[in-house]
Amino acid sequence: MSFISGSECSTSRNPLAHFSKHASEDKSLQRERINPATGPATSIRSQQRPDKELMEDFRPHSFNMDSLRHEMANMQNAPVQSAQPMQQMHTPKWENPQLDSAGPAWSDQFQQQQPMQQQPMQQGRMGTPVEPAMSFRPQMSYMGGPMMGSTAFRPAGMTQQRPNQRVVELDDAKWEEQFQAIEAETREASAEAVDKGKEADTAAKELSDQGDETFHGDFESIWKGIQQQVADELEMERAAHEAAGDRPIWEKDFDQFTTGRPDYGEYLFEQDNKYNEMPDPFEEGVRLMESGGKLSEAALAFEAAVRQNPNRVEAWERLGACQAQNEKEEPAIRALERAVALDPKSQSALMNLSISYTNEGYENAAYATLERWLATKYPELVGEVRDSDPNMNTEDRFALHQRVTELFIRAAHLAPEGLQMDADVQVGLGVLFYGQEDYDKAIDCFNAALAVRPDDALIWNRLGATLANSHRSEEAIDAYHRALSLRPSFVRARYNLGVSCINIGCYREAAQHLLGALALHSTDNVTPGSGSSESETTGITNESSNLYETLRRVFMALGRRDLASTVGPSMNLNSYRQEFEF
Amino acid sequence: MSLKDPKFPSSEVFEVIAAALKSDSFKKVALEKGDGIFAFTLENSEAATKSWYLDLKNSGTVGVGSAPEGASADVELSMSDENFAALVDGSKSAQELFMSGQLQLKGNMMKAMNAQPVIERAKEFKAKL
Repeated sequence: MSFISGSECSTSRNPLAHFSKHASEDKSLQRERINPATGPATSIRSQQRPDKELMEDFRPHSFNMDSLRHEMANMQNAPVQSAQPMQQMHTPKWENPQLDSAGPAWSDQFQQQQPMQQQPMQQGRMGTPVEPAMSFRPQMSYMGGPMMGSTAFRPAGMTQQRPNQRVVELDDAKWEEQFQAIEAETREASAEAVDKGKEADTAAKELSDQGDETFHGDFESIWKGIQQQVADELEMERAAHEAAGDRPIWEKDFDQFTTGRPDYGEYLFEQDNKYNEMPDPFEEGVRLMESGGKLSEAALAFEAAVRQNPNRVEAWERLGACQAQNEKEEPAIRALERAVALDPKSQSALMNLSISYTNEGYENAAYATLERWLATKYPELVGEVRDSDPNMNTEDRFALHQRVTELFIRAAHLAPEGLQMDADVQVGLGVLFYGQEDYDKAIDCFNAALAVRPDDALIWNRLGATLANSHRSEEAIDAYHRALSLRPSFVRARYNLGVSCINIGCYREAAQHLLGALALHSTDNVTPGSGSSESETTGITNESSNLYETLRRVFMALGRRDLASTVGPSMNLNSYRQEFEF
Repeated sequence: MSLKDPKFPSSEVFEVIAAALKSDSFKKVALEKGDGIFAFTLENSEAATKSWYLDLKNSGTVGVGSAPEGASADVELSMSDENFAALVDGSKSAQELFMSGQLQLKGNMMKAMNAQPVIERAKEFKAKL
């Protein structure tokens, strides 16, 4: 057998390998013993107090909240929050004033809990956190090391603290999460207890006022009675809500959340419309959309259709969708709101409306609209969640978002994979994550939707927009190109393409795309600024100020103030063709 | 009243900011990052001066004047209209202007730093879903 044969070098014969094995074994052994390190830390707090000196050592840190408070503030501000798993979103806000006002009772409790939870974390911070999981070691050996025996530190009651020991293995960030979660639970529980206590007090008073002696001294039955009473009241309140106008609670929420935005008013029609004379402009509009005709033409056709029959929901719906794709958000919202007013269950109008609200920055309205969409498509889901927690009418944007997201995730679970998957649910989820700037998750959702509907130009554009807003302009441009190859007249995708070009500094290309988008806005009816059309004087009612604004800034960036000043509804697009190709 | 004053071409940015502040999410971020009332006093080519305020402390609004009613600005930034345009489009930095005496600061200088990222973000074009 040669000395340099493989087997000689193999780890099984290599003494060094054995050594390292020993070392690691040793470590794991140590770890075993050290893990209960929270035992001593907490046991000092409890009545055991094995060593007075140690107490002194720990005391200076135990109530030092400053660094912690700082951490907490950071945690809240950090966008990381949204990247944490769903469960973390349950954690209520720290400076919830309602909780603070809950009275001294809970705060006492809180004080008692606080040092226990806090101390291990403080220790973790003290040691240089090269190896966070093991940072308890120094303290441990200081207390006598493994010789002391871990059980000696643990009072009988400590076994219930087991979860904490597991946590020792987590790194700092996880610690904070855990800490936050535990604390939130404590707060919630104590706040609840106080509330219930108050209820009990008032109820008891009432009872004695009535002179009802039978319940006195029988706290249990009073308690049960109150619980029943409260439940009944809630039920009655709910029933009353539903009876009044036959509206479920989420509809009330919908109204509440959609009122916080400006009123877009009535839809404004183009003055001259050749489609007005047509027998069936709606069919013509649909044909134009499907054959890849100009969106502005299709919009005119749908306008003519709703003028002929203002109650035709489908026509409003199509008009809104068309205007949104045409990069005319405000007319789109006006049309879609009209469609929803006529038929509150119009799914496509609700979905498109929520997307338009998101684009305009009205997240609350968008979330509430999505919830309404879900309630229309999956009524059983919304009912289920509402039943399990009838107090869900919170006004907090964060809570609203979380609730609607949860609903959509449930809906997504109904058909998780394959062709049965509801692409619209994925789009809705994507919009929800997008609203929270959780772009990676939104991208996943849009990709999932594309797996079901690979030829949907709208979803490609949404994927592109999400990529662009998470600073992945190059990938975004690919997605926009996919959208445009599927639908060359898709003005919004072209606008977005221009925006992405701006973001990567290609102003010339940006100008070309934006001019191309504006060229698509011209119709046989009205050609902006061309001077040849008879109806030129009237101009376009629904212009895209967004496109003009962007183009103006591109010209400024190109150092062309002369061109920037010409941008506007009266611009003559043909005059730019000498310089720009579009 | 329009925020934009044609005699002060750079004042267009106040409309851009006002438009951006209509969005819930932008307003929230702007109030967090800005945390102050900023007054911009611009001097145009005709040596006329005019002030605009950017309230990122309470209401999250933009307006004409050095501060919203009943409040006062935390910091006032005075410069020429041209320099403000350059500051906004990024061709000059606040530090550069300040060092060369072309930008005067009155009040809490540290706060002045907060305005830049908010304006920067307001100017960003967002892709549309």
